[in-house]
Amino acid sequence: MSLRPGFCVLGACALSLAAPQATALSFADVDQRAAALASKAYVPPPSVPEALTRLDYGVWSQVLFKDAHVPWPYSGNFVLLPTPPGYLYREPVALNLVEADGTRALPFRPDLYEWGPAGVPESLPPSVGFSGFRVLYPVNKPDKHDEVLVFQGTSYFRAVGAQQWYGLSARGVAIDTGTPGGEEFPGFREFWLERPAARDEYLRFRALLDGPSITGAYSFVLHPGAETRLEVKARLYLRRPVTKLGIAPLTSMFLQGEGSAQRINPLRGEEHDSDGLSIQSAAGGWIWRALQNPPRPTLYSFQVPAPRGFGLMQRDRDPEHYGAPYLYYDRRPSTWVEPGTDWGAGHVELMELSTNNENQDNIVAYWVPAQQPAPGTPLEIAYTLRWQAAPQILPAAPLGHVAQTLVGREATHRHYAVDFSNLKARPGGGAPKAVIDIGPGAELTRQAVVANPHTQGWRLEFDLTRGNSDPLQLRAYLEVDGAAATETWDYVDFDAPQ
Amino acid sequence: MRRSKRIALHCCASVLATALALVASGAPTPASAAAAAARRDTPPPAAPAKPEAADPQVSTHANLPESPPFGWEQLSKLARERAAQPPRQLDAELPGWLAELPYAQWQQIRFDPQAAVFAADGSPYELRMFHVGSLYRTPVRIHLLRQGAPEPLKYNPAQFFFGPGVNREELDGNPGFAGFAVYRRGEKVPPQPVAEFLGASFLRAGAPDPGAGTRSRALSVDTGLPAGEEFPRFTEFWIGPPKPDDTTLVVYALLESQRLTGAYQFTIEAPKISAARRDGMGRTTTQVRAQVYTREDLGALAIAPLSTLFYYGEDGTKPAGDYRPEVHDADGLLIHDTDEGWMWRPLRNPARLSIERLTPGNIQGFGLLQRDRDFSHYEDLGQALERRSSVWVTPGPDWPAGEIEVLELPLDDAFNHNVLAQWVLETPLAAGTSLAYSYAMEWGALDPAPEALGRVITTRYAAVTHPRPLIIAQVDFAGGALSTLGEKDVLKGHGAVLEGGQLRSHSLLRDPMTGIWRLTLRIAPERDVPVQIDARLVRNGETLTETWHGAIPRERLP
Repeated sequence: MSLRPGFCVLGACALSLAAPQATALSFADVDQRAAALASKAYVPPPSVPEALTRLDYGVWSQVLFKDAHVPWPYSGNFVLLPTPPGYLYREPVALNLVEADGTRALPFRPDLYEWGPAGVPESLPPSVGFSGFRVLYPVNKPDKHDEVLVFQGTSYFRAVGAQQWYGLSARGVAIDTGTPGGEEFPGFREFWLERPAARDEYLRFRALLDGPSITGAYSFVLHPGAETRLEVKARLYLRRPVTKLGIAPLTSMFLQGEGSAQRINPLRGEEHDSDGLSIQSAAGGWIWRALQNPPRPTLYSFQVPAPRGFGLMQRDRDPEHYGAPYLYYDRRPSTWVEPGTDWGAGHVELMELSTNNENQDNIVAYWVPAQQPAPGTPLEIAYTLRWQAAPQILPAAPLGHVAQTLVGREATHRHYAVDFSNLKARPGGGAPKAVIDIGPGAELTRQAVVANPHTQGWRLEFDLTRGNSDPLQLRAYLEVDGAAATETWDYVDFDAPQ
Repeated sequence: MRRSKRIALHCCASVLATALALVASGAPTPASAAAAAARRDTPPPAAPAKPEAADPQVSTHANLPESPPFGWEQLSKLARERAAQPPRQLDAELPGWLAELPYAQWQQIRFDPQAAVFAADGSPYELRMFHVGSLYRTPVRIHLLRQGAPEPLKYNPAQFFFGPGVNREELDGNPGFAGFAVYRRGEKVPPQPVAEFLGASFLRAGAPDPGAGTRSRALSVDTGLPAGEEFPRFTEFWIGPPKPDDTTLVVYALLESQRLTGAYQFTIEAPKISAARRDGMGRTTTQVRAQVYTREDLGALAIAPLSTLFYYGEDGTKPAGDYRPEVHDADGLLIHDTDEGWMWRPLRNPARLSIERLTPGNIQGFGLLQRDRDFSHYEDLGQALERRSSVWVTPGPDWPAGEIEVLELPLDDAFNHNVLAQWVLETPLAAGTSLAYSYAMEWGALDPAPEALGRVITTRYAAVTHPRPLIIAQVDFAGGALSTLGEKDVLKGHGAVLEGGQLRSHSLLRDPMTGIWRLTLRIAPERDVPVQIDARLVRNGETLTETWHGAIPRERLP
């Protein structure tokens, strides 16, 4: 299974879509269209001609939007660069510009681009659109426009803050992830972007999502900065009940880390876009699930009603731990999902797939509400995505957090060392006490909590003997005077790890 | 890069074949016995001891003249006289419970700091003794040089704290000392160990605390030869109290084995503890003056042997059972040669015994270095591997002709030393001859290569099978002249496969974040032959780095 953006997972993509009517000015207008669309049968988008989808990345990436045609001038903060169709991106995307005097469509035209080695395409059908858009902003230097956001491929998008490097992706919605029937990839079909004033520090745009089972109206507000925030508001309409509705999905990559059994790529150190799933419960408790590249696909759920937030985080910010020049794993963002409303009952789900290379995204996390809306009834959801590097969301002091997970694996024995940092120092006290739950099917044979002067923290060491081949769900935290002094470390021990 | 004219590389095929045959037949190889002893100080199995050796102070002490004061002349005379006599039986019979004491329990036997020798002399150094027992079964005799004749240091169980389970009242006879540690005394700070003589002819030093790690031996005899290695031992020591304003401590030692004797003088100089603490790690130097006398012909003689542990490093061989990213006491052999410059040879834990010889034209020094000083590369809170002493040998003017031998043994745990680097004499000594030589060893967090020289900081390998078999060597250089270079500087990687394959391509990349220059060499290997490669970085014909010498064992090939 592949989670890369843009794969056309639904075989037939043949019929043509009606030409976009650039009349939507408000969220209510988009919402109306989403509701109306949901009441009709799904019509797949027309396919981009093969001449374009045949282009490989190297050629397609040299198709450049001409500066002369940029909708908003470089003298302003925000620059919009529509991205060309082709390569993996088979579904046309319509763009509209919302100006003070009304809304107008930005039709795709080949002459908007320098085609470079790809050559100017001939006789394109009128249905061809863009593949998405990029947004530039002087996020790093006042006089330099750097890319901060890209929407491209089904409902995928990525953002970065200052000094960050693209890493994990987000999606509009995830349908039936990890179900036997296969995942559905609805796409953003049309966007309406509000023209910002020259010195505006935010950008507002809206989008219409459509897929076989779902439609949706989305409103986004982008705030680039040291941490780039993307406010998301959506009204989702189901055409039919789905097996699983995933809200605020995040998609990432974890090939190898400090706890991996082996380095699949021996020429690098660690290699991942995220190293853990962090969840904060309604009551303020914290869970850190260290990510893995598992031996087989796994799906775990974390029952956290009305969470304060969750995110796929890249806590390790030491470039030396990655040893990969020009890949900047140390600068890839952590993305924290902060609900804007009470999300009620439901759970956070984490899917991890096995991968043998860094080009395949193998990690997905999203929120699954306990109750799906009835077809025709909208599910209104709001949240903020926070794309951050340092500082990033962590349990606040004096609660300690997990800095790393080290594992030694013999046939049936395991040696764990989990470093917790940032605990409040205990004046003259002894070591904190470990609370370890290894569940059934294993025996804890040793445990110790020792000071780690290198992190100014505490290291939990424990050994266990496995009884059978089932995965073990491990949980542990440190406590002081009977109260939790750290977040809860959460890990899955596999019998045949990678 | 041209193949070096002066540094010739060859593997001792015959020795290797012999050793492998021994492994196959289940008998210990001479080399593996050497390694086991190197770490655990276990002498090779010996004949049962004669009873009279049990009380060394009384029955077999040396016949020393009353005057003049003991010194180098007396020691070398003694060694010469001993060589003219038949070899002595050196093994003592320990009480069974002492010999069978588990190592961890032996470690609990501590010398009482209040009984430290020379502490009352106002000396900058003091001595604390190691008790015999467990792996250390042979007592050594220690003579103190104060006024007049050397005065034997008497064993007294009251000098020791014994751990639980040992009843001091039950100690019968006079089991003796296994060796001793030298402590640097400081004002206002507790004394810190800076050197230890413990087991066989081992010496380990460092500042302020040698802990475990790389050790030196007096010499090695017939290492890797089919007949087996001989293990000379220091049997007696003579040590005088340094004056309060002295900076050094002189230790005289008598070396004995079946076929040779030796006189050794060690001049130990450790930094003041306060200074060493301030600087993180100081340097201890040990000057060595030696004279060896033979009774019989020697098959092979190597001097200044250094032994260390290399279990695994960053080269992609981490065993799944261990959570530590790297486990080693040293990560490379550094060689300085006037003609060839500086060469870095990363250490390995090969699947089979490996012996490599490097022949410098004009040796200036060599050593086993623990270059990686980053805790997060080891993650061992108990052992602090990132603080292990590096050791650098500087030959004296009387250094004999020879070459460097690197002997690496397969190791599947972290308890034995498996790497030996030593200077093998071109001509081993014949019976009835003598060899005088001298050298200095420096111990600590040192890296003697010049500041301006770029260094190898990481070596990684990957085997690729598609579309055709390739071994990829990825070498990271950093520091020195490299740290002042930027993106616009043009460097060239010079790489040459010396043996075992052909260089297909190479590429060089500078990491803008860390300033590290990454040289990637893609080599088409020949079948089943270890690959030897040299590489360095050059700008406008000027060499900016040391030479990386990679030796890729067969099991790493695609």
